[in-house]
Amino acid sequence: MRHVILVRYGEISLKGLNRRYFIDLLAKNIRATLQSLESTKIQKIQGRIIVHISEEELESGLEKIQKVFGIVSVSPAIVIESDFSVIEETMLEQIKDEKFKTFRVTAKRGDKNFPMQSPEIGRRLGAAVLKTVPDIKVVMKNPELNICVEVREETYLYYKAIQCNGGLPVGCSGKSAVLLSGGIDSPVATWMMAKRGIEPIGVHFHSFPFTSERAKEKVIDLAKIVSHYTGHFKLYVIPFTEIQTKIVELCPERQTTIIIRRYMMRITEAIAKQNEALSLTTGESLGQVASQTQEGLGATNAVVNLPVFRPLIGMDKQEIIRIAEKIGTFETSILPYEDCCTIFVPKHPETKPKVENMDKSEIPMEAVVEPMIKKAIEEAEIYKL
Amino acid sequence: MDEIYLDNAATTKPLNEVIEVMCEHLKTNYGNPSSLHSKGFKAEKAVKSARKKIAESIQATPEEIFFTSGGSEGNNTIIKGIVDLAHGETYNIVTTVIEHPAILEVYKACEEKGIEVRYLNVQKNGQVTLEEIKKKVNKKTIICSIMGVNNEIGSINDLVTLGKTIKGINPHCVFHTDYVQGYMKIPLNVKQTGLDAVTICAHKIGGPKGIGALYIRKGLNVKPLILGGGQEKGFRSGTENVPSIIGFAKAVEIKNVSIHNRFEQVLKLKNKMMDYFDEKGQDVMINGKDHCSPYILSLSFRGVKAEVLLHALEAIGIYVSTGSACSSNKKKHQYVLEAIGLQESYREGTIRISFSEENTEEDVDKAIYKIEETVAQLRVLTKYRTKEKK
Repeated sequence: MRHVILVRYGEISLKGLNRRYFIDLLAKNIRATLQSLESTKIQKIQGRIIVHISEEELESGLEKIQKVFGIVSVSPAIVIESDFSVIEETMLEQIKDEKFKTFRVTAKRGDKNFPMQSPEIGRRLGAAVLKTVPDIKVVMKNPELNICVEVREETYLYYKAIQCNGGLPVGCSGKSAVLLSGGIDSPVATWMMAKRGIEPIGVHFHSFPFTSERAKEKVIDLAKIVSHYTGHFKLYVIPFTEIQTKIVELCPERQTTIIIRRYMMRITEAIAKQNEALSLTTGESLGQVASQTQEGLGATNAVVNLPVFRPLIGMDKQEIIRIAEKIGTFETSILPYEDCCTIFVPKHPETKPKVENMDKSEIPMEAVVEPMIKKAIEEAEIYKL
Repeated sequence: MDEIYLDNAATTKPLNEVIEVMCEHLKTNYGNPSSLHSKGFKAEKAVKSARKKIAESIQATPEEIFFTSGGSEGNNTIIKGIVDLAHGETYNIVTTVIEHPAILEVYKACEEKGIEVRYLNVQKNGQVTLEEIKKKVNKKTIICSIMGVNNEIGSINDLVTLGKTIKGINPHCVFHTDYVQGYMKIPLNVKQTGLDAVTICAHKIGGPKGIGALYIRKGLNVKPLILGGGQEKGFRSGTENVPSIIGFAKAVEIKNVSIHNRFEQVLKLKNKMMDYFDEKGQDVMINGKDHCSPYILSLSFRGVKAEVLLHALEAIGIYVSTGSACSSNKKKHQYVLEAIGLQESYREGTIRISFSEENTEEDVDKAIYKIEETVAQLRVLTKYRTKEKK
């Protein structure tokens, strides 16, 4: 008796001629996710990926694999010989400690050489269960125990399917450069883009002493958490103090927030291009703060050419928090260190900035900022998580 | 870069002698005091002699000293240990509004259990008045905790007078002080103060972290917090932290002989900085000018955020703190500054400078200059304009 994890992928199987590419990528991502485990071996069969794993590592393997995008559900299963008496005996042995009042048997025959057809397998196994366990009955809908049997060259026996996050394998959609502030929103935005197959390149702006070493450490921790879903995570920490101070010095106070963001967008686009990323991603949500009005987003959007994705744009804070809690970033996100977004908030920030006005307000910057940007990018710390 | 460490109220650099004696002990005398063999006996003797030294430092007897893991455990133990033994008719417990969280949170937990907690307000200088004691303490008060030296602003309470007043109202009320910031800095004689319990710890006086002691007056019945193998005469179970106990005693031995000299030496440093900002500082508030410990100076600069100022100073090698180190991660914890009536615009720009005798006058001169310069730079960035000095 061997242990496996059955992996089901949904959307990928619809991808026509590219199917093979998607499945290979998914298998590769699963392999990378499970690399710290010793026992695993990955096998591709018709419509499924099978992860062979030892009993000792099964639990930790299940926990890890659930985070891989592109998987619809997984089932811990055992593999036995495709011989009816072996199947029957093993099943009865396995369910003998289970507590249930209702059950069903879901049988599937993949190997047409097996002497029984699917309905017959189900009937005969069901009868065996009824004979052995007292006071139970068969129901087709919502049984307490669903005994699943897949007869292929070997037979897979399992009792539950764990729903996963779905989506597409990370990497199949290319890369996107993500602005990571350390708050609640940007890790969620990263996660959502990764779910659609994006490989994120994180960009964080560090303005010591306005943001502390702990704030930077917090962003690294967040990127690490998200990397459990994305496999790996390249994070750029851009020293931003000089540029930020210059903006505060030279530009009108009401507009500093937007202008700071415009420079962050420009630098992020440069990092995106260095990494062959095809877009930018932000955690902005419409109307959440003064700079996230339509006008504000327009003013920051105007300085870059790559498309800017904002997966949270239509979400309420509570909805974002729910996802943050689910993916495990919330607790880290709410650690209270000063971050660059809160430190220079003007008393009356511009909520309806016009692109032309912003361009004009930035004129004093033009003479000095180019070498500063170049230096900031050159001096960026790069973390490979 | 030369470092100037001005965060001694958070913790002090361990003394070299302390490190040496601890290392030596870890290497050779590693026995468990409860073991019957000679290695155990040696460790037991070391603990015994440490206990004696610490007892003598506050004029207590060795059997009145119980080792703990530090200030928080000491405070938890005494408050819970008294409250848990209370029975019969209704009673109340009393503390001040500016205690360390290791006291306040315990009182709050009692409050949640339905016990009446009475909070003593403080004056602008952070002191508790006798009138306030007379108003709040009564015959039904079973314990009253008043800190000796406040950890954020350094205000000193006159424990002798307060103790007399409390005992005058109710001789049975347990008088407890959290003396973590006062121990080995301002002399304390437990026999003169009417104190029933005193919390102290090692890492504010050059000793190791994770060790402290609780003085409990002989004859006072307190319920133990930690049960187990019956160490500390059954009052605090758990294998004795022998190396730390020895390190603690070493620190006490060294500091105890120089309390007065160090007081004068550090007072000079504090006065230097305080007088400078008092005279020349723009839009700066000194929190608690009178009746304060020379070891702590609380300064509030309008128009800057304390955390930013702290990091800017750290970048040039000067280490200070915002509020108190234990609670500085929580923004809501500005209750001490609120209690002394400081405006919010000052509160958010408050840093705590805490001195030790290892700081020199040159350090302080440099720190003054750098703080002033940094505050000015930050104010330019936040577009804060100082008002003309009168």
